[in-house]
Amino acid sequence: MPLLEVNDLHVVYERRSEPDVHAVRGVSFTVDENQNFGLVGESGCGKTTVVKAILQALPDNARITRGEILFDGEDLTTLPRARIDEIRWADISMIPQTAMAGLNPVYTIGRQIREAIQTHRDGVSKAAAIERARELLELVGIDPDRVNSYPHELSGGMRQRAVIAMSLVLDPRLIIADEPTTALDVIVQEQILYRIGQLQQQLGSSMLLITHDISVVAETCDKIAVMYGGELMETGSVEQLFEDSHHPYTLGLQNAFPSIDERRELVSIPGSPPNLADPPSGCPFVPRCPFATEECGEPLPEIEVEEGHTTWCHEPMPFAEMREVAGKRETWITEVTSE
Amino acid sequence: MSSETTSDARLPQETEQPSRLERTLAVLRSDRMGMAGLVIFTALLFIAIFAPVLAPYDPTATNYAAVFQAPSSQHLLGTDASGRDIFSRLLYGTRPAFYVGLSSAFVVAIIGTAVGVVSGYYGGLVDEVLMRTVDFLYGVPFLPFVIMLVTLWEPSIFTLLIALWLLLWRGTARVVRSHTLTLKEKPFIKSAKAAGASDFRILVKHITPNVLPLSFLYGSFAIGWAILTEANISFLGFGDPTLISWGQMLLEAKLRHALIRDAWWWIIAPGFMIMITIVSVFAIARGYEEELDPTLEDR
Amino acid sequence: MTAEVSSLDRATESYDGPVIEADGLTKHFPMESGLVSSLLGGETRYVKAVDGVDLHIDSGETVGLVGESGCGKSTLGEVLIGLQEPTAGSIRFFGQELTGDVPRDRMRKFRQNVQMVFQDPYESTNPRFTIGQWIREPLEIHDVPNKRERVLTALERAELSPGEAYLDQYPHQLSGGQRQRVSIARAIVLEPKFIVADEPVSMLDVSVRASVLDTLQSLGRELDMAVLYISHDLSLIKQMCDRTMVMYLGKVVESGPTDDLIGDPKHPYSQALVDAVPVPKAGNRVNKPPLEGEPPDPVDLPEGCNFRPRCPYATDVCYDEPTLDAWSADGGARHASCHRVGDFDPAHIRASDE
Repeated sequence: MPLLEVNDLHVVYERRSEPDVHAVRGVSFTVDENQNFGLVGESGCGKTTVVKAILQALPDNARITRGEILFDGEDLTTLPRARIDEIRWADISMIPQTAMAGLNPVYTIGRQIREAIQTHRDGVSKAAAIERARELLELVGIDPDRVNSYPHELSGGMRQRAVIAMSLVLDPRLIIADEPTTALDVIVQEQILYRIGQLQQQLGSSMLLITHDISVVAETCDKIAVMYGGELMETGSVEQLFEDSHHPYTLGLQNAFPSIDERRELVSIPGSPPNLADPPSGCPFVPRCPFATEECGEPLPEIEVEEGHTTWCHEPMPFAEMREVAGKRETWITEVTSE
Repeated sequence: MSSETTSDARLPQETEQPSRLERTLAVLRSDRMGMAGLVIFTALLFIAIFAPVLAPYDPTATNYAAVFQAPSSQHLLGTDASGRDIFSRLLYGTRPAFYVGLSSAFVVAIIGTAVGVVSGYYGGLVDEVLMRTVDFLYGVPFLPFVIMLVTLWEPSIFTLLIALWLLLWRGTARVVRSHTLTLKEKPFIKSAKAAGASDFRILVKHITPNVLPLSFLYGSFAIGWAILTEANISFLGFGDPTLISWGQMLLEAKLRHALIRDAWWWIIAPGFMIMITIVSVFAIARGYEEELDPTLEDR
Repeated sequence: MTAEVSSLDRATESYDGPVIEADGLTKHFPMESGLVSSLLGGETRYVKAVDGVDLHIDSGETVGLVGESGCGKSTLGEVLIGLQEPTAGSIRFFGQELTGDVPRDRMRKFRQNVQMVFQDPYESTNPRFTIGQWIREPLEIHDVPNKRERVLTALERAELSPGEAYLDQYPHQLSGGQRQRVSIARAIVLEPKFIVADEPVSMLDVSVRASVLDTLQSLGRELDMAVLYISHDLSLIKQMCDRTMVMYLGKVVESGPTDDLIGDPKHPYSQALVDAVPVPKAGNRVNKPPLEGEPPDPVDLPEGCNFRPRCPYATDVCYDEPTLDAWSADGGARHASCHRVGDFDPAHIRASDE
């Protein structure tokens, strides 16, 4: 049984005097045990909403209108609050984007870790909890004596490590990392990603990594899902998506990133993301897709390219041809289409 | 240079963008309290301007045959101890409230903004001197100071205004200075400096316009305080006795034992007017304040 | 449109050397001491943001300045633009000295010819100005004729077309990418000779970055500008820059042609940096990082080489502070501030460009 199974998730944000925003429109994917899964997309694609839905941390005006989120077989969308609280942190934990979002500035980090332990585990003494906190700090590369430091006394990189330590303290089965290294310098990023990898192997946990940076995903994940306009565009293994991509948006994204290995023609995808208050009926990528045709206005079909590799596209042109021309800048120059 | 738009350069919407005034009004419209405040304030302003036309009687005309009369069809709010029509006096009383309130708001906004902006932008000695002055002014108790000035000079409305203008800007200066400190570090100010803009230009064209919403807000609060102060001063007996103001009316009511005479109309009417004027101003200011985050600019 | 800004000093046109040069450029910020320590007569400590930097950039050249946060690269950019006064050292613009007693006229000319593009597109425009007014302002400050024409040209060059459509818009009506183009338009409206771009695309969506970078690149060529490109992203620097300087704790630790430097970095810090950059390709996994910890605050600098405490190859010789001349190659095109280049074998080296 997969560890996490998201089935046909739909999330809507209700607004007072304006139409509702359909942030997530039918997303399904699975994360297995011991697997690193990357959820990739740009701002506004819905990936953060998916994560909030999984953690049952959606704001008041958001509703899950359809679908289920199964964690180890239990549907998180229907569980009572008490059970969710048990699962959160102990089974599913989160590394937020900014460390300060996860740290309380008025308590020492040692105390925050200790409280997390004592809340979720009965009969753990204060001394034992502090000892565990020190262990974890050492594990993430922080001097254990800093267990008595306040968050503002630590540098940005150290705060992020502290937050990671906190997220791992209860040996969770699933770690959700929301842009965990976006705000960090590249060397610190490497250190942290490496540590997370080590710890994962030790604990046997899976990771759901949310990011816009496909380079990070390429280096840390086994499977990737690319999101756009509230829907999935393509899912598959890292090799499949990078070497045998079957979607114009995936191709566009790959070609938009510079590589330190080689200088090449970088591509820009003209236009901007769709207005999800008035969601398109067909493929959301149509206004920006250089290959789109009439039929792309129809609802997206789900195509299984091969085992584990799925794409959502009408294939207006054979994918092999798309791959050939996607690397060229002139492919992407289109007339500016009106919204 | 390619002539095609390869970028995200989507043309800005062709639809007409609302002007700043329209947007401000829209902001107020969305807040019911603010809207109510605006309506009331406008009505009061109208009354202040057109008092002579609206008042049924000469507010100074005495009529000793008709003293302490209860509200009737002839005298909507009754008469006072000298037989004067309270309703007419009430209408005329709107005037001092307004020119005290509005002039104070204006002065407070100007002085407070100027001091705050200069202090925040230049820092150093200038900042020290100005802010210590503000600190000193904060230490001066409001009402006693006004009373003192009125005693030293003359109990006229002008003295009151001077006192208000000297003190009321202190809060605005601090807040404006704070905001200036934030603005100073923003890239667009650095850009202006890099382009060679003089300090004067930066202060006048870049900092001040971005600080104005705050000035406006604090100016609005000042209206309320000024009106309240005038009423207090008059009621305490330090006001101009020839002036028709609500505070003055309350003073007379007290001196002429209106309570004992059960002339409730004489007390409630001016009291109500003071209250509703101040509340309306605060409601407007608060309605605007709700939206005063940078989101108002970066919608 | 090849309009020449008529108020430009003809002398600058005939100068043969680099557009901008710096020698021993230093910027120290005094740390505010508490009341007690000033009473006790403690020494003022300084944040040594920029600590002795030499550089030069020629016309038409794009030089990358790369380093992590706290290394001083943004401060260096601001000092070069004249937004901050250097504590020591000299800056020369077309051979003319800009530090010390500078005639006002020279400073004005300098400001006319030097601009900066900032990182945050949402804070680099005055929200109360229309786009037209914003781009026009440098022209007003320097009293340049034909303002409307120049503003429209600048907009077109920044690929905001048709320019007229943007003149009356307010910044909040535009997207992040468009706003950054507005900043670019303003930066080039005076046709400057030197531009500093400080992380110009890091706050933009990925799918938009390439075209903004492209605009910057072609403008650099078209206007023959010297460009200093500041970034923490080595992949971008590889894409955009002819030459690169690596900065660490206020000093430049390595410099050279971009491809050579990235393909075969000599300084241990450069090596760690190059090594850490993730690649958008399948098949690479995160390596064990060669460096631990983070750079210290540039206040109490280590004895000798700044990098010594973190350097995996440090030995006694490293207590002797190295300069950029410690190692050089290719006839002086490459420099590294390390005594031990060649004594150690870096674990990971990237294959160089074809």
